[in-house]
Amino acid sequence: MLKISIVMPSFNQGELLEETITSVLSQGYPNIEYIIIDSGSTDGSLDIVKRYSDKLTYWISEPDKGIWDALNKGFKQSTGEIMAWLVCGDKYLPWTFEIVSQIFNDLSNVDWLASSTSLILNNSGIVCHRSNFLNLGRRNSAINYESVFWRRSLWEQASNDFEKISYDTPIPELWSHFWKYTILHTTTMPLAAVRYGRSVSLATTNPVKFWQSFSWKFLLSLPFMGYIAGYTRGRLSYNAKINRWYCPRLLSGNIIRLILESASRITRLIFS
Amino acid sequence: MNRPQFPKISIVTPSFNQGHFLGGTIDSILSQNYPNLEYIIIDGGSSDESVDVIKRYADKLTYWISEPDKGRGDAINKGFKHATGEIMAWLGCGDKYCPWALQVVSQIFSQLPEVEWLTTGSPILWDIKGLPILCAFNYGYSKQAFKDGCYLPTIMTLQQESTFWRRSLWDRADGYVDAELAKVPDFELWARFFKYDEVYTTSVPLGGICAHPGQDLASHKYLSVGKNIWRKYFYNNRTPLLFKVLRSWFKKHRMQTVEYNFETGQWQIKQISAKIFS
Repeated sequence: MLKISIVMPSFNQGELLEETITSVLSQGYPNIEYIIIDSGSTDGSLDIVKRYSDKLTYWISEPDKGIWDALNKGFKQSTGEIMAWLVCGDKYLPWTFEIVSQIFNDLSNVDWLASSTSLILNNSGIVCHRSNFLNLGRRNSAINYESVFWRRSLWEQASNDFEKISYDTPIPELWSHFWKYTILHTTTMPLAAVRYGRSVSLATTNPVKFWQSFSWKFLLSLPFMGYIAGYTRGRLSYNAKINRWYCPRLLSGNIIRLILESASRITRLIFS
Repeated sequence: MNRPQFPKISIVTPSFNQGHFLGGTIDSILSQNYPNLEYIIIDGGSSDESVDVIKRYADKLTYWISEPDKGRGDAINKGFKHATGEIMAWLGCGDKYCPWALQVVSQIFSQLPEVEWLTTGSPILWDIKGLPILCAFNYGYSKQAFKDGCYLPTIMTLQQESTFWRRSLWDRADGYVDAELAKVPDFELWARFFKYDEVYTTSVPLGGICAHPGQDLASHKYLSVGKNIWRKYFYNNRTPLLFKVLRSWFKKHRMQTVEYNFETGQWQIKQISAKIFS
């Protein structure tokens, strides 16, 4: 049972606040630290926060310089081993904390976790769509920020670079500093649901510039491209192997592999 | 348009000697507080704590009984005889719905009269504690692929736990579940349903099957039973093998999906064409 710290910045979102708070507190996970940083709301948000204040570890309401300021303030108050943040309006699912604590407990090399499944809530708070982040875990991919969890050790490592983070695009820059120290581990299990149209859109920027990604490493990997393609193809269609007898689609995959492998042979000839 | 906002949903749970899983199943349905729910439990004369668990929830159940029966399919048939709802489904003992399932299902069925049969593209696998351990992804399910035998009861098939249908379709397909098929009555039902209508798929996860130890999810026995059913219903429609190969190379399968339009707040039907594997 690892301690999980959740920081929630909020600003004038009274009607959504209660749903979000109950989604965190109603999970029955005992070892949780819930911190709300309000940027001086003027609507009824504070009354709702005060109603739950006995279950919150810390809450404050004062004007701040933006979401990054609020997050920093919140995480300074936290002591948990696992850290995450939640935008007001989004929800965690009933099983989120148990799964996350199991993963971080069992796998010591996982420092940073995100779910490749993203559930989208409509205005009345019902899950109405599922979208996939198929490239999640690669450096160029967007990260669905609502389902990201990380270890405190990673946060402390990355905190050396926090002065460089600007207040305009703090979250993508935070991810780019995380990328320096670890890789992103992903799971297909849905961990959180994001509200449509309400939340900030925070895709990640890659720390590697576009021209840098076409480096000599990329050129060197060309001769092996066939094997890589064959490997991913085989992984994606593991279901197909069971039904191959009835629908032999794998043949088309083999043709692609054949073309790529012959291309790799040609490149190898050229380079040698 | 005078359609009810909350159509009546009838859910049947067959149970037999699985008392320690039964509570989670009942909770996952009743905790959704759906206003127009009809929940029926048919117990096959269990000797463990099942009956006590059912009695705890008895005031919220429409009907329950505990007497010896001829198996799972028989229990399901008995349950549906007591059901009066517009939308029907059954949920095995130990399996669970997602917390939003009934809301989503009622919205789709009340807004789209064309949809007679709904399943999910994101089947879930629960573990014993009720946590999801897998959330798969399919774009949809096509009638043509079913005829080609792509959805035989293996890992990739229509998940019965998250499938709902209208009473009209159930009546047209003679309204029974084959009681002699102990483990795969759903596949035989899909074969009959596919004769009358196509299946609509939503990307929202609706429910999942529970993987408890001692249960073989995709054994060869189910596959051979499924193959026999498939031959029985689709032998005449069977495409020659060469055509099948060519089609699987060049043609994508047409699938009916149901999508939520976040701008208008309405569900709408979208026809897609996608490859079944990969």
